[in-house]
Amino acid sequence: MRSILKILAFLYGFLFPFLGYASDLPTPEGEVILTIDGNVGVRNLGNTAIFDLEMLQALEVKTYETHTPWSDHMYRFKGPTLESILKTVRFEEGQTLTLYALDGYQTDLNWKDATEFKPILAYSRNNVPMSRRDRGPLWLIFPYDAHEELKDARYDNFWVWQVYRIEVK
Amino acid sequence: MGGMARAGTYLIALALLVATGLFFVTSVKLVKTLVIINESKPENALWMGGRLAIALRDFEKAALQYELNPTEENLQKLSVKLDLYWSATSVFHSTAGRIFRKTYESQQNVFIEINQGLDYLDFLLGRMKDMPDESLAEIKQVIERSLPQVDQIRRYILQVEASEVNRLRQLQEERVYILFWQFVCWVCLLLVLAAILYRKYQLHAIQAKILGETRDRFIALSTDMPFGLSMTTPDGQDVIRTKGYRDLGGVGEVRKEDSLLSDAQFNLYDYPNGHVAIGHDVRLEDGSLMHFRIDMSDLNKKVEEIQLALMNHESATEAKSDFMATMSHEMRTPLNGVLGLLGLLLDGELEAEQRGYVLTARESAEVLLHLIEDILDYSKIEAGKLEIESTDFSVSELVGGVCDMLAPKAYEKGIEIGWDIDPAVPANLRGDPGRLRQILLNLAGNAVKFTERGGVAVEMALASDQGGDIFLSGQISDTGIGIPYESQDSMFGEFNQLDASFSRRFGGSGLGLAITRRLVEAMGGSIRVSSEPDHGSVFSFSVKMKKTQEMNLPIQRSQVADKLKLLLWSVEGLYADLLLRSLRNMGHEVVMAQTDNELLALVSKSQVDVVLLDCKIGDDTGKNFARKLYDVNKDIELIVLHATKNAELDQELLAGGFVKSFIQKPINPLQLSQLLTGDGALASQPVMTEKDIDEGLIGDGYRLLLVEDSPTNRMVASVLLRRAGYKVDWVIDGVEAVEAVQKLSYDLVLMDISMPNMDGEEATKIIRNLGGAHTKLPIIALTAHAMPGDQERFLAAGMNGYLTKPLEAKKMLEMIQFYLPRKITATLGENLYLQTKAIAEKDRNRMMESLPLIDMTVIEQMTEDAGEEAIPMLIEVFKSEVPMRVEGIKSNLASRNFIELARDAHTLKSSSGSFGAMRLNRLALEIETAAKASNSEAVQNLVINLDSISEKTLSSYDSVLR
Repeated sequence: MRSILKILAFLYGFLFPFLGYASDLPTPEGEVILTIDGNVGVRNLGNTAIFDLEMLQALEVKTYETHTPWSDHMYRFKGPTLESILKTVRFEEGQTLTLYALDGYQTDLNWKDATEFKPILAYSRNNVPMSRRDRGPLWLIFPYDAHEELKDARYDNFWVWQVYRIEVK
Repeated sequence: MGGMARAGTYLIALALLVATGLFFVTSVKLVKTLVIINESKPENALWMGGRLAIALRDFEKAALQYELNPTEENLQKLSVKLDLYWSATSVFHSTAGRIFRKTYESQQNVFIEINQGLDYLDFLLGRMKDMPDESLAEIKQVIERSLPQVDQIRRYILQVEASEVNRLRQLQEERVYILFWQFVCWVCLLLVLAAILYRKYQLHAIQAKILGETRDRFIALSTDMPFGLSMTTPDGQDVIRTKGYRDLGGVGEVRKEDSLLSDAQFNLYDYPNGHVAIGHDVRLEDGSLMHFRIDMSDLNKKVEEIQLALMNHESATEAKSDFMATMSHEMRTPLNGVLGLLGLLLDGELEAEQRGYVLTARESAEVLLHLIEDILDYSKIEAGKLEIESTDFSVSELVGGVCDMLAPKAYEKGIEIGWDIDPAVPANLRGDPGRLRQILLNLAGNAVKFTERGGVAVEMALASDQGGDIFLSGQISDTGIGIPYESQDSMFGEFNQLDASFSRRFGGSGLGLAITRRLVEAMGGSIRVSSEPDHGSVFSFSVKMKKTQEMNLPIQRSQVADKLKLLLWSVEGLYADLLLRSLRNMGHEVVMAQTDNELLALVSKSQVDVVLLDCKIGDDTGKNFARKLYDVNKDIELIVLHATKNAELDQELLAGGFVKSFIQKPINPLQLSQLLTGDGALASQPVMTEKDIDEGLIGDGYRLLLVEDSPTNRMVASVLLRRAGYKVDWVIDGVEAVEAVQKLSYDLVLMDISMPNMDGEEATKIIRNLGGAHTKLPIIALTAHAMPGDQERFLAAGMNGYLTKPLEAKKMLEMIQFYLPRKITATLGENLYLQTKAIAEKDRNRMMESLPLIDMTVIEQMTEDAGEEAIPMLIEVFKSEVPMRVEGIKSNLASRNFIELARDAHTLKSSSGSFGAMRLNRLALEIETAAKASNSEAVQNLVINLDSISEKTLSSYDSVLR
């Protein structure tokens, strides 16, 4: 049954670009935790695409057990890959995006930064949803221990936590 | 060398290893530092500090906004801001282990306060709806408190975290620096090691190359080597074959019989082409065979050439010697002519000045003749023409003859000459007496020539006796000028005189010793000299002789039967030593006395049988002493040894019986020995006892004429003749001889042949022509050289016989006696003796008076012996002793103890003798004699004078002391 679903999902993903607007983004039923605006191809609320936790969990979810430059210990992070999120809004190569945090911090990423090491927008840490007080609701996590390149200070700025909005340009 | 290089290599390798380790360690440390620096990210910490401050500010703004407009929406915003403030704080907590380690550790209290503030803010926010004003006011208060805390943290981050990073960066820089130098060292070591290894490899390669080249070159060269060498491998392959080997033509054939070479592991090899090689074969361990060959053919030729050249040289030397011999002989003939002519010149009328010139010319010519004779002699020896005769001769006659011949010259100089022959030497030997005489004459003649005082001794001994052959050794000692040490080795060389000044002073060709050496060597012996400059020389030589056919025992040994106690009075020195040795050799016991006192003391004790008085040359002290000694002790025989006669005195002493006999110096030990032992061997002969000669019993009444130009010979002959009792007149040449025989009638004429003015032959002819008694007058020729044919010539001239010079007393006297038979006139001697005896019986007192109180010569001698300062003390001792002895004698006389008295008198006699108190000495002697005979009356008479004489004696010593 699951394998059939996987095949269907694959076929869906494979066929999607050719299908165009064939599938609309569903409207979130729970609390909205992420808003994508700007030059977005798929919308579900005005000019923006909004997501609740359930919607994000439905995307390509990955789990990274890793250290971060911004913490002492190793954690088990879980969340959808940034790439899968962006694909839902037809974000394409050559475009850039800006991540916005609740505390006013913002940073720009290009296609490569957003996709190369498959960072995820983690919603849970050690299987616990992250609150605002604990860098929630979403934290961009790279597979830090798996790739030495990520230890470069340049990447330090990309680890945005308390993400609530993505602007696509 | 190799070991050291290897050790060096290992050392460098080790150093490289260490350097690598250090490099690694430093690298690891550096990486660690780098990681820390990378991970510490101080800018991130600063950023976080900034975010915390912003979060607080945002919360403050939201609070203010809510205060102005307290809506639900603003409260929601305020809550979100508080969450964010919370979040900013929690980031610090979650990264406290790394990024903010320092900050967090030191600022923990601040963080706790901030957290407390946050908790309180949560509480205030929760009650905001119920109590908005109070909550808001308290929120403001909390913010007011938190603001400085947050600032403090930011400040601290700025200070500490940044400086920590700086420190680490500095450390990193240092480590990089160290790493750089370690790297440099490492590279250097690596290079060195590489260089060494490379060089080793290269050397190896070079050596291999050189070895290969050397081997190739050796093989290439060896084919051209003249030296023969071949090497064959076990499989028969020729590796080396030198040119020398090829030229010889192979291995050759070993000459077996040459043992000399094979002992040395070499062999001679003959080749078919006539070559001869010396060689050696070696088999190597691997079985290859090596042949060494050296061609000797050329060397053989060379040796033959050298031998030929050597022979040529020898014949050249011979020719030279021949030439010299001929030349010398040819020179001698005209020189003799010159001498003859000079003689004739002296014959004629010459002015005194001219005569002086001619005499000088003749002397020079004679010197020249002597030199030429030396050279002639030497060249004969050099030419190998020295022939050693072999005839029987008497050693003692020969040695005695030589000394007799040299004696006049020695006595003229005032030195002694003596000889002795060891009893072991056979009386007669077979050899060359002429050459032996030449040797002795040369050495003894030199000794006399170079001695100014003292004497010369010639001694012969038996060096070894080997069956028929015996070695006769001779030793000629003198007390002359000696020979410098550095010249002693070279002085037997040709034309060698000690130095030029000697030559001028003493003359001579310088060939004498060279000739002597050649002669000695020709007679199978050797010659040596040892000398101390200024003290004298000793020449010793040995010559080989043969024993004569008939066994003859050494003559002196058979006469040792009668052992006598002899007292020799002589002066210590070479001559006295010789006499002592000589007398002891005869088997007698000899004591020597040097001073008169010693002599008198010994004579008076009657401890000797015979006293020998050795008179010094030209000194008759000994003879004068004879009478004194006779007075002391009549039992002792006295023999006087003298060089010159004092005819009247001698006669008187003989006649008076004071002296038993006189012996003429140089002393013939054989005669002396016979005289001492009273052996009749010589006495039984009609003429020739020494006693007869000395007592003048041979020639009594006869008057002889001696014709001789040489003063020495004249002296020798006249001494000999006068000693035998002849009356001798002498003239110096033939002319005077002719005149003399016409003036006086002589019983016999001794005529020298070669004389100036008129020679012996001429004079004889004239004398014979005088006619009358002159035709019967015996004329005996004296000649130096007895040549064959001379005798006929002399007889033809009218001579009766001839004697050879040097004159031998025995022969001469025998010949004279043949013409003038001995008249026995013993009565004369007997009368003389009795007459003298009567004189000796004269009054003792008168004689006593004639003796001096003190003999000053004794005191002088004593002063010389003991030193002037010791004399007063010695005399004091004597002066204190005399009264003691006098008292002793007197008291012993009173008690009639003649034994003790004699002892006292003896002591007094000897001490007074020692101090020269002659009169006291004489008195003591007489008292002793009388006491020994226990003649109390005589003793009493003598002792009466004792006091007065001793007092006079002692008082006269006082004047001596003054």
